Amino acid sequence: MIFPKATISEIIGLLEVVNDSGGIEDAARLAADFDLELDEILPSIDGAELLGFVSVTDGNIELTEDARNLLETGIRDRKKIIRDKVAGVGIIKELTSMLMESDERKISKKETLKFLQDKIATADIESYFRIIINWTRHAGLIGYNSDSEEICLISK
Amino acid sequence: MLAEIKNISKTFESDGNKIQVLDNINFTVEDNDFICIVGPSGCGKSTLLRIIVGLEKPTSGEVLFKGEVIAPDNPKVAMVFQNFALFPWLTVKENIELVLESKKYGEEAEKVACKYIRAVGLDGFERVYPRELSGGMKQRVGFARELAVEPVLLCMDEPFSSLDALTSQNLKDELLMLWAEVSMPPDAVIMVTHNVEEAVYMANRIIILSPRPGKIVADLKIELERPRNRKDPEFYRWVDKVYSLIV
Amino acid sequence: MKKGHFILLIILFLISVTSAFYFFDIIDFPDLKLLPYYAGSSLLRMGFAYFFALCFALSYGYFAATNTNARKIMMPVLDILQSVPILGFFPAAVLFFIGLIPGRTGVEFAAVFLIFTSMAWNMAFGVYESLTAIPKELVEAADSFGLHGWQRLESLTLPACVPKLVYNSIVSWSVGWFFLVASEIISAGSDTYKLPGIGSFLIDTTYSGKIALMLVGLSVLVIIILLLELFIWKPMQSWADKYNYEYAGEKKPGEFIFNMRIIKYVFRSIFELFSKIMVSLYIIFHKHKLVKKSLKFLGYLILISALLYIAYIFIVSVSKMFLNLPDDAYSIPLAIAYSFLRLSVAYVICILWTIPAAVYIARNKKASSYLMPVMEVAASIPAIALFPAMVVIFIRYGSLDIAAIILILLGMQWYLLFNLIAGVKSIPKDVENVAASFGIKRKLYWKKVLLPSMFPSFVTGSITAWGGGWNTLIVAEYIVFKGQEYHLFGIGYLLDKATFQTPDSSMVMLSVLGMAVTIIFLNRLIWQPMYRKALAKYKFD
Ligand SMILES: Nc1ncnc2c1ncn2[C@@H]1O[C@H](COP(=O)(O)OP(=O)(O)OP(=O)(O)O)[C@@H](O)[C@H]1O
Ligand SMILES: [Mg+2]
Repeated sequence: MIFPKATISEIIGLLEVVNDSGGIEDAARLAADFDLELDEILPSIDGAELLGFVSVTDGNIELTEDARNLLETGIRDRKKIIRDKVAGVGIIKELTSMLMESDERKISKKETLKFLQDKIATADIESYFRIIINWTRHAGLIGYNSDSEEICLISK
Repeated sequence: MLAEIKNISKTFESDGNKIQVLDNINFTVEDNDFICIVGPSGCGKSTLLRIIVGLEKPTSGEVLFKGEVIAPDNPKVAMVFQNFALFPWLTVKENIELVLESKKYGEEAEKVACKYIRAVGLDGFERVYPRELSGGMKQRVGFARELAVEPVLLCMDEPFSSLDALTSQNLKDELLMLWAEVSMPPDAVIMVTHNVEEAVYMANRIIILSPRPGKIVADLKIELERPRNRKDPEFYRWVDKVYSLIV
Repeated sequence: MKKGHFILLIILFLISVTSAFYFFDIIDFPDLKLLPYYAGSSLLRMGFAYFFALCFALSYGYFAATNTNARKIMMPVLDILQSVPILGFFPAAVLFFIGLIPGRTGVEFAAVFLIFTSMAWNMAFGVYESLTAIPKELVEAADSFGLHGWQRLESLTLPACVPKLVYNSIVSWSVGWFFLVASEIISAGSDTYKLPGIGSFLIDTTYSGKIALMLVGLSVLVIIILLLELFIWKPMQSWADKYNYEYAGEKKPGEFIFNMRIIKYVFRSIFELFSKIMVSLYIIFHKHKLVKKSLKFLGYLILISALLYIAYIFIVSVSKMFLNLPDDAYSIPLAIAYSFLRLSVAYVICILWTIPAAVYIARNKKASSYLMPVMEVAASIPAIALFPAMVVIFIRYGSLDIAAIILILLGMQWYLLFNLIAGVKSIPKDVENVAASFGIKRKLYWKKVLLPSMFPSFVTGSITAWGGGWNTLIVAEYIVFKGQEYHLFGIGYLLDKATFQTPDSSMVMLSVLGMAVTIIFLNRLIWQPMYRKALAKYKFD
């Protein structure tokens, strides 16, 4: 499995841009509009798809109902929608349940990296760790304490 | 009228050479103005902004804020920096609290900090150090920090230029959302940019400067409905118009 | 007025004063006429030591950086060598060289060796660090262009070393002067060997109480150091900046008044010649498989036999020592504690004055344009050269303890000061603007902005300052003046006593060992964790 290397900000940025084009846009056109390479914009598209904000057919990106709802609300409510979406991502679901079962609801970074390494076979696991934490922090699900090098559940 | 920029000129002296950067700049800032200053590189945009917030002294002329001469630490005027300028040894929350501490908020500081952390959608990131944040998140901290002092006039020097295209798109929209909220500070914004599309997307007034020494070439009111759409032909007419005035 | 001009002015002043003494026989002292010869010999010694240090640094650093297995042993060894007070090994080295080559040549070798040991380690670290820090893209680019063998060395490996090597060379030379002075009068066992040089001139004149002459000698030393600074190190620095890919574009080339093509040209040629030699050696070693293999074999053979030999010597001498401990051995822990106390006092004084001074100098352009050159001149004088003068003053008016602390202070403070100034100057302008625009001032500003941003440079400065402090300690606790000996109880004294007064090789060994253990202990326990923290938390991106 491969995890999209795009931050939540980039993904929402993408949704906004597609929305400006009437909710559907060709990936190549999009890249050209922003003077980006296609593979620079692909992670954001993959990320948006993984979160269920777009559907991609033949290089056409189309916003889903959820994405339209997201764009219509304010910063606060966006956060709630993102929380629900991120919580549904497989790898993050697994991490959350691992945390639930662990003592004190904490897991060391080392252990997390090992878990991720098994899922996403890559040499650059650190950057995936950072992206996943970016998502879960945005969603208010899982935090990371860089002093103790542990991830933990964010309590409501 | 919020602020008055009166006859501002600025000449730098380095190694005996005099470089005139700004030449007799005049304009006023009204309530609800979102002003973008555009102009070619090196024309003195940053210098003008630094003079407006009081970080730099003009060679002649003055900046009046509600009728008074501006002091650099005036809490009513805040500045967002291009490279975020966060303190690496302080967490997100501490970075915001720091500027409140100096304003003697006392116990309120924490409450105010939390309010603005939530406003920009940074909750969950309170105890994170800046080095762990992506560029977009860092600039959100920048916004929260400047908003937290509840300024009347917010100045920004190319706040999106060190972010990637999609992230900056997202941040621009969020900033406009905050701007649209009446209960939120500030009352007026001055933003420096060298991206014309960005200026037309955000501003309701665009001030165009000439190449060095910077003079005001035009002061345009942008009459476009919000939210704006960059695919709109009307939008493009405005972009073309601004370009034609710069070139 | 530019900084360079100001230094030039100081040099001219010193030259005129010195030549007045030299040409008009104001004081009658036969050795005075020999001063140019002394200065030349000292410079030559430094030059030789530097050359060897350079060769050592390049090969050691290169080997450690490219061979992952060797690195695991080589880097810790270097770390220990760097933290051990070199002066302590000196008597043993002298005896070794004199045994090898009797007479003055042997002593010369010993002196050059001592200076070499003070120069080599940090340069080797510099080479190692720059080689391991070559950006991956550059290495890949070199790979993709098919740069191999000497082309690769010339276009990638050597240029990558230049900036750090130049910087470390400057540090090495300033440390080297300190050891030069110490090395020109050598006592080993019951014999004393004196080498003609500026250092021995200084010591001679002081011990016989001729202070005016000592000042003349000192001024000659300072002139040499400053001339080197202006005509070698400054051009080198501005030339090295070209190779700095990290700061490309951001950093202005070093301030330099003599923008003479010739000097730059000379250095480029020397450097190129040097790289040619390295490259041809490299080709010989790496091209021919047989040579390569046999060399490798030979290398391992030498390494293993050397290790075995060292282990043998170590076991024999340690068992001898512990079976038959000298009486003084039991006072070593207490002596270390005393010395440590002296160092701490000096360090605290250091901190108290350098932090505000650094902030003031870094912030105040006018003041810094005058103060920086003066400070640099003052810092260039090896503390050891000032000690005799110190003693004279304090034997008459005060206590030796104060003199020792002042001397240690002199050996420590510049490292801290210059590091802190650089630290304050490197605070990003926007961060200063934030503080200004939010009115973060006074106590809050110092606590939340200034002190934290100075922390990384404070730690680096402190590490070097303590290194300098331990070395100064050895000369600060024991002195002979006009035939009379003065001392303070401490590890430096024990060491000097075992070296000069009542020669006792096992005491020398034990003292050095005690000191080395203490220093390594302090490094591991205090400085390294602090350094890691400074890098992780307090550095601006
Ligand atoms: N402190 C200073 N001393 C001397 N010259 C300065 C100083 N600050 C700025 N300048 C010069 O003033 C001119 C205008 O600088 P400024 O940064 O205001 O331009 P700008 O319009 O913001 O440019 P950019 O688009 O590149 O950000 C430049 O030529 C710059 O070199
Ligand atoms: Mg600018």
